[in-house]
Amino acid sequence: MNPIIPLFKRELLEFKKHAFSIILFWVLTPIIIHTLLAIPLSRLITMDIRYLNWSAAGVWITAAGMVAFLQSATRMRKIQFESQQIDALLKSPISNLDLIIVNISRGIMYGMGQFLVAIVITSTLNHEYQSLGNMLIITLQMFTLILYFSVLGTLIGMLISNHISFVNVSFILFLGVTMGFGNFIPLKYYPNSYLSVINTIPTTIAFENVRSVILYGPFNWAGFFLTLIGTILICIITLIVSHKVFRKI
Amino acid sequence: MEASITLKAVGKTIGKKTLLADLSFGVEKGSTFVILGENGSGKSVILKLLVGLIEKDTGSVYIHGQDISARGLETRSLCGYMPQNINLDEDLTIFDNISIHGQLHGLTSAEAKKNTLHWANLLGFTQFLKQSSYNQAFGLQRKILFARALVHDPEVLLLDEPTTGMDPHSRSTVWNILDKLHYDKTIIFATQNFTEAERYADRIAILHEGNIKMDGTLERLIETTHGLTNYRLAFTKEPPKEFMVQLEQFPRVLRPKLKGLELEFYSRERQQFFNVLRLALEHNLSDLDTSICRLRDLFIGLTEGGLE
Repeated sequence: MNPIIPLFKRELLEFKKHAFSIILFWVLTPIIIHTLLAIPLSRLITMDIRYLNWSAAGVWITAAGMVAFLQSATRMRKIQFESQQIDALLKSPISNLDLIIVNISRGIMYGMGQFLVAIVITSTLNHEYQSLGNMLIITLQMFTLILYFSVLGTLIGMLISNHISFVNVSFILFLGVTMGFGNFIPLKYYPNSYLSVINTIPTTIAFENVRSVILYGPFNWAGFFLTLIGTILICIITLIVSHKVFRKI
Repeated sequence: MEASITLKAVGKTIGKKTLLADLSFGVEKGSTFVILGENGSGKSVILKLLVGLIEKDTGSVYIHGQDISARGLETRSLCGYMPQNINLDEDLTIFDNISIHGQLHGLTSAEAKKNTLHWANLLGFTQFLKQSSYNQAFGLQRKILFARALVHDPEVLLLDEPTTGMDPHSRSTVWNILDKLHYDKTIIFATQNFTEAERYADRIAILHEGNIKMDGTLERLIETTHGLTNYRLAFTKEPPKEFMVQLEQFPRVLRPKLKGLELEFYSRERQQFFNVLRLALEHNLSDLDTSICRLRDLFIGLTEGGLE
């Protein structure tokens, strides 16, 4: 039996054990982001279209991205630094790559779950983007973003042993995703010097793509593929780092 | 006999600390090999190295003829490992902890279930199988780790202080199981327990600062003391300082040590003992005990700079 299968079984068993709290979290997170972030900002930001419709993309990205990041990072930190389960896993005939694949998949599964729940909740506000084509493109772009956050979480979880440092990094990431990339505040409000920096980051274009689909705007495939390439690069770095940290002592 | 495990000139350092220094030894198939050492001597490092949790800096290690660096997946599947620390998955039940581990080693779900139930039954924790492994008694967690090491029926068993924290009944159950298993499995266990080492080992290695100081059967190790005897004298009142000064003048009284009301020393000659006894009778001697040197004495001697 491929050793990845029992690792996935283990993830399923954990999900079953905590299913109620996870689903409750999936439901509450987009509602809280919408209520505490999007609604207050809708009173301040003026746009050609209804702000709350436009900010639905920000709700999906923040909720699903952060869930993917936190699930993959906390699991990696738990097995490596907190419970030392890493020893029990690494002594089995599994490779570092197997372990990383399962951890990234965990982030993707939780992130996609969060995205699906978030899209159902935000659909109650806006049905305009719900053509089949749009939904497919949004899902495709969201999948790559969730993958990106999951890989990033795996790498961060592998490197940061200190709990406070991890909380700080997660908080900075949350602030960056919500406030720094135009997910809730349109990019036109940012200074040009800042825009020239963030426009070089592929994820900015990927975020823009999701918002653009809602508005029936153009989809930037270059941004999509660049995000994917960036994700693969972080994945390779994660694998290299794993060889340094997993079996060091 | 065929070699099951071979270590050749293995070295491992972390920063400036040497964990293993040019370590070489072999373990035969179907034998029980005990690594005896104090805390930090490198016992756990050897076991972790064999299961691929630590990578060596130098040397080579073979398990059943396969190089662990080149064929890590294969050699790891041959080994069952029980660590010293508790590293159970707190999100899973005790049953799943053991069963998933078996499946990671290639068992089917049905085989893993069967083996989990078998070991849980033998170790007496069937009633806890559906409970979470979190917050269980330490002794039970150790038994779960033991069952987890055995669930895939490994050919090589690596046990790091296996009975630590277990009650006497559980300890005896574990040793009975190992007694039955040792005919067809290679067992290496690290311990600080001399009685268990003397009772169960086919061969014993005394490890000190990452190096094997002595290695052989118990009889062979005891032989190296050449009839050295351990003497213990008990007093009703602590003897005066001049008593110890006088004692140090006896040339063949080795390592005299006064701990409270008890004096311990080693000697090969009965006459030396009689001389000490004569002196002790003048200082409230209450009891005496003599025994030929055992593993404990040898270990203390080797790790504290020699008995002589």
